[in-house]
Amino acid sequence: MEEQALIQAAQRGDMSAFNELVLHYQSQVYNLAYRIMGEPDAAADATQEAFISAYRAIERYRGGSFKSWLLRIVANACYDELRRRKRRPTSSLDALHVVDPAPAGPLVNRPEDPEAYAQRQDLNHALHLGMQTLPPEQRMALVLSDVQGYSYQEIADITQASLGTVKSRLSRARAKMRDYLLAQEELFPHGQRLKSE
Amino acid sequence: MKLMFEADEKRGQLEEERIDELLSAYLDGMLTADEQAQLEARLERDPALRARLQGLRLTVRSLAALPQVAVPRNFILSPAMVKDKTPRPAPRPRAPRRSWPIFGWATAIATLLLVFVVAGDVFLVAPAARPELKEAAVEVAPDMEQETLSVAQAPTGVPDIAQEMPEEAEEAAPAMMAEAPRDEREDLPPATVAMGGGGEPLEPELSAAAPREETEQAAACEEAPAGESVTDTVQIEKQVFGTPEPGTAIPRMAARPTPEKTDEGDTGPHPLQEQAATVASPERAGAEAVTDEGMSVWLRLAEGGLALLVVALAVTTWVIRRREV
Repeated sequence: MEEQALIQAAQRGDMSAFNELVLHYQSQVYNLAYRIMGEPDAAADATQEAFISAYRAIERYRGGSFKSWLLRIVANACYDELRRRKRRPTSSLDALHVVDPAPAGPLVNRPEDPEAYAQRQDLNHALHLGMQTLPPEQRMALVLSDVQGYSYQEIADITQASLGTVKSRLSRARAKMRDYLLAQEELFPHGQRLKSE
Repeated sequence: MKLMFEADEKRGQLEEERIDELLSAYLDGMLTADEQAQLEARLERDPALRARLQGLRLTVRSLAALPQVAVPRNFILSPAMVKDKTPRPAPRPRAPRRSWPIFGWATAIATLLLVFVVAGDVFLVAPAARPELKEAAVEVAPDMEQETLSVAQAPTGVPDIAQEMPEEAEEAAPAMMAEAPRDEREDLPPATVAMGGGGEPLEPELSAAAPREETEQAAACEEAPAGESVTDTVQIEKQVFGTPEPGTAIPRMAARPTPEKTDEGDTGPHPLQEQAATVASPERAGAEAVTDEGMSVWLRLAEGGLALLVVALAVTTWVIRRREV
């Protein structure tokens, strides 16, 4: 069923139509929440809260990019969840035990060289940990831009910030990630170096 | 010294951030043609800058290569999930927390107020309060009084003027006086009674000027500060009315001036005497000086307060803007 038809049906109270939209977008939503929250359980909570909020607010959707509208709700749900968890902080050990969830793609997508695969996994883990050191707003801009591939304008719509603010947050986040990875240069394969030539 | 070092460090940090912002925008193709050309020229001659760009490029590529993670379960909704125990409105997309524009506007308004106050001080209040102008006014007053004294002491002026009057007026005036009953003549103002030979048509004007002068002199006396010396008042009176004949009382400032007590030939106060009263006397200048000085103090306080407010608001705006970026 076409997306617009599903949206209109959901606005009339058709929950099954809304669930079709959930199935279509839940991977993007969960991945965004996972990169922002840093752990699978918190990401799942934020994702579920986001979809519940979206269903309740679907009547106020007035057109435009549904994906941006939905991700805006997800971003706010993540910020709320982060604030809630900040008020009830977890121990430092819990923060270190970040279990990487299974990748979404099939095994055939993994590199055949086991050493390269292991190195890649270490790099991904370091990137994920590095992102958790960023302030939430910079982390959001980085994930939306470099992980999920949204444009500056789309990021501005989702985060309700100006283009200049998006540009600034993104540049700072990238610089911090670069500096974070510089400290772990052994993660990069031979030939790829972050330091000066 | 420590502050200078911290300021330099801060400046260096800002410069680094600016360069990273340029490099990041360059990676995304978000620079203008000019900016891109300048950056590429700089990259060609700066290997450290090339290394920074390479570092950013690798970071972005690594992030883009992060795999999508599998969802742990389906997040489809059920009626029980949506049904809430306490009815609450659906959360609306939150507006960005941007409070710095408010402070920016407040800074602009405070700056405008400061400009107005300073302009008012410079162009309106300061000239009136300048000591050199006050001294000039005070100097004018004695000069005017000296002129008044010289006029009063020059009795020939009036008869000379009188001789210029038409002959018919000169002949008519005594006739008119002769016709008036003695009682009425006594009721006439002293200037008219003392009217003798020449200058009659002028005297009504001069006598009319006398009450006016009297009123202004009275007003000047009332404006004088309470601590004025009696000697100063007497001297001014002498200069205005002339030295009285022996045996006669010195006319007080509020009293009607009597022309017969002035020097011979002078039939009335000269207009210049009015000016001497109205010109800023030393006492009035003193009163004005006190008022202007008080106003200046308040203006200085207002300027200082507004300047502090502008600085505080500007710093607050900058800090909040930095935090919200």
